[in-house]
Amino acid sequence: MDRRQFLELATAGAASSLLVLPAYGQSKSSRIVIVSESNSNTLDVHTPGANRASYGLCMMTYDRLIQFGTKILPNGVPSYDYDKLEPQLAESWEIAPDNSAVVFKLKQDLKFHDGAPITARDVKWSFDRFVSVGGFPQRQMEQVSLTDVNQFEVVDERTFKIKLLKRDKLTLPSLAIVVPGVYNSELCKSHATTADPWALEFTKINSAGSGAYKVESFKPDEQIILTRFADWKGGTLPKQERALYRSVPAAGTRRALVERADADVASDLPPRDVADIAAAKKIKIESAPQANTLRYLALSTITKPFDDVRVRQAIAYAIPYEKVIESAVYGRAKPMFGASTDAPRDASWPQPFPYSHDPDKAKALLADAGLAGGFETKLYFDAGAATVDEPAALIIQDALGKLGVKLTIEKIPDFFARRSQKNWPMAIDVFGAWFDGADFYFRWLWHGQNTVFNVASYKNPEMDKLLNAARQAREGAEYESIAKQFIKLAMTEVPYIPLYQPVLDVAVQQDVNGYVYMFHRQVDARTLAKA
Amino acid sequence: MFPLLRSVIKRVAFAVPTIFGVVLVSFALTRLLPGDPAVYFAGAAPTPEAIADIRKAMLLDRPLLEQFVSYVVNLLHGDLGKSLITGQPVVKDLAARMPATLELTGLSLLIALLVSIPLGVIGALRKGSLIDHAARFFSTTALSMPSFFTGLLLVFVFYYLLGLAPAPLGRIDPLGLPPPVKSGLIVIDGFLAGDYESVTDGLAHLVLPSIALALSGIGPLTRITRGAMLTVLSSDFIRAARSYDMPRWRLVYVYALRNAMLPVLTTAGFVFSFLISANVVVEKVFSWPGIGSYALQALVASDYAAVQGFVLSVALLYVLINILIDVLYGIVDVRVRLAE
Repeated sequence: MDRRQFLELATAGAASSLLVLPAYGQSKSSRIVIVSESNSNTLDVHTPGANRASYGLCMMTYDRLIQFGTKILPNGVPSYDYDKLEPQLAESWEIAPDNSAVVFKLKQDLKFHDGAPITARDVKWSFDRFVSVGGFPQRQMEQVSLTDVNQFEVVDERTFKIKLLKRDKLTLPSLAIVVPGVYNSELCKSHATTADPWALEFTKINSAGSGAYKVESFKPDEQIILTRFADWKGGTLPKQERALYRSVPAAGTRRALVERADADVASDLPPRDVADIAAAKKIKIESAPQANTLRYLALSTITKPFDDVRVRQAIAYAIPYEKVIESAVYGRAKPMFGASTDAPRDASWPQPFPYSHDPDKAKALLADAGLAGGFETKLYFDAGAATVDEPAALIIQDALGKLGVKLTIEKIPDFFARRSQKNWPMAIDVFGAWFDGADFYFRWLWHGQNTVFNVASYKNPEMDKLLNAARQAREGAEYESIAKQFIKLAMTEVPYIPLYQPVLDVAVQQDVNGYVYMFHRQVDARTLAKA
Repeated sequence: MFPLLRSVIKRVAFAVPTIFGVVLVSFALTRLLPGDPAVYFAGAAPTPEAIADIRKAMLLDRPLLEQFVSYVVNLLHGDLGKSLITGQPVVKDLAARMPATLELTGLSLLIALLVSIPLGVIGALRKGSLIDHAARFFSTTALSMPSFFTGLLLVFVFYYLLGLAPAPLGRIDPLGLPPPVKSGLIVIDGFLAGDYESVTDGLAHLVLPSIALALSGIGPLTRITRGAMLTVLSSDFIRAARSYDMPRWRLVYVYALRNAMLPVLTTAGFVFSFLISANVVVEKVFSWPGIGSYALQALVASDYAAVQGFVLSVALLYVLINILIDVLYGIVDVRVRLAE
């Protein structure tokens, strides 16, 4: 008897003395079980404190006027298509020739989950709501020039008009993101109070939409059960009658569940587990580079010695990028280093920076800055992302150690809550923007408006000028030339050194098809089908 | 019974300043945390305006003293504030999760007592024997394994490899309908409703996490039982009983064990409190919807109200357990009752 057999016998013996039941299985094919690290904490993204999982949920329970189409990524994985807008509640829309307005015509016989008809008045009420409630919805839509209730007009029962304040290429695609869902205005109004005129208390725990799925049961942080809405007119009816979203905080447990086929889809798996599962080939791994997202090393430009651009460049040359990608994410990322020239190839974003691992260059730059003897500093990262950031931090520590730079690593459990203090000399951080396009991304990190994401506290009047100009232009050759200029500036100044573009990996059972990568990075049950 | 009631009232009165202290300290500590919850919850577009909106909604823009006073006033009305993570009132969250934690911790303590008292007694009776060493080895190993590790190990063996245990997904099968809530404990509610399917399902889900948790309690309980038994067995009244040729079982289990119970009870109280904190990790491994996993999440997000609510409810639980143990002392040991 070898060790393995012995262990099996011993554990089987022990197990038989326990009260245990055989595997559970009831009508497994009609439901799809999706496990992730945490579930939605609200049924309405407009409520303050709505988490990221709620974005995915509200895309399924609420409809919008329009939705993103789909495309196939180079690796064969279907993805949302930012450039393709398709009807959802609207059957058609028309932009005025002078760009002053856009008019939507609603589909016929649209119904909310409770059977009430959907009219342009519901759309107007919902749009008024997001420009008035404050917090994430209002601030998000401000970014795309939707700010005032007077912009929204009911033309007739089925016609809705938005007056455009200025030419803004982000306005129309923004109507397909999670914020501008259409709410059942009569139902909401009946639950409104003077203290809560937009009935947020009601929609937080009650769904008032018309989406493909209805909420059957909502236990924040345990399980959310969705049932298909038979009268859905927003698109192709979902294949699965029911979808179960389970919150499973432990990554090891998520992996065990999907490997035992008790879960159909598992997300938020650490790269190591993903690499193992991919190698075993029993379960599919659907991968997509996270759109407009970078994991980077931020260098505080207001802290010595990183106020010196030569020191920042030295660090950029000191990082062994390949090694970081290999050990942090097991190679599952898109490299963002080693561009052959320091001129951006085009206005696309993200694109590789002109730095590669070159210790000699790094040494020369440090010597040039008068720091040949090295210095001491601290590197911070999010404890919640330790599986990927800890190995990266250790490699950076090792590489900088060879240049005489002594790095102390700080692992921060409440990283996001503390980030706004901006007193970290070095930090590994990640940022993903909702919309494609370099200028939108840059405004959060490099602009002097100094958002919470600007951990490097970077401020440069020249950068601000370019970004403000890009906002006006936004399209065409003029935009292209401006974008190239600010990307080049970011490459030279390097307050942020991209480590890689992360990949979103989701483990999906062989008999489950139809996974589509979505911009909110949550698993969407609407397209999933179980054989 | 009257003096007993009086002593309970006295202890409750003594607990009031303790509770107030806990309220003050938990309030101060959460504010001292370097994190800013407003930034955390400002969503995907945390512009300064969005952060200010949240801060205002959470009353974080008011002076600390004002925040504290309004917190205490709300507390007196039974309002612990609202959790930002779940978006629900903290009282509701905790009330919904507390039974899950109590069910798990209670069963773990029961398992730990059932294993460690016999082990300790045998160890004391056969001091230095092979079985004594084996018991010590077992209890030390159990104590030194972190419970998240034993939890994962149990999941790996009994769920992943052997498929004997149900999926580590909380208290009941995902699509199973829990019995109507009476006590909040699924096993008991199942019995009350005559729903034996829920009883077995609930028990099946409880087995692995409660064993994982119980293992960390077995160590101290075995040692204390053994030590207490050794002391009692060498005391005068046992020697006297022996000289009267009293049957051995009666001597050990009625006279010795009962007298050795006092330190065991004290330790059981400690262990229960300790298990509630060990719960935090076990709940995570088994996706157990208890207050431990709730607190862990709240802490990371600097969700003040939820963290304070958790600290307060655990403090209340400690106080309750202490009162309960004091009462049990009196029942177990006549001397304590007479001294009151």
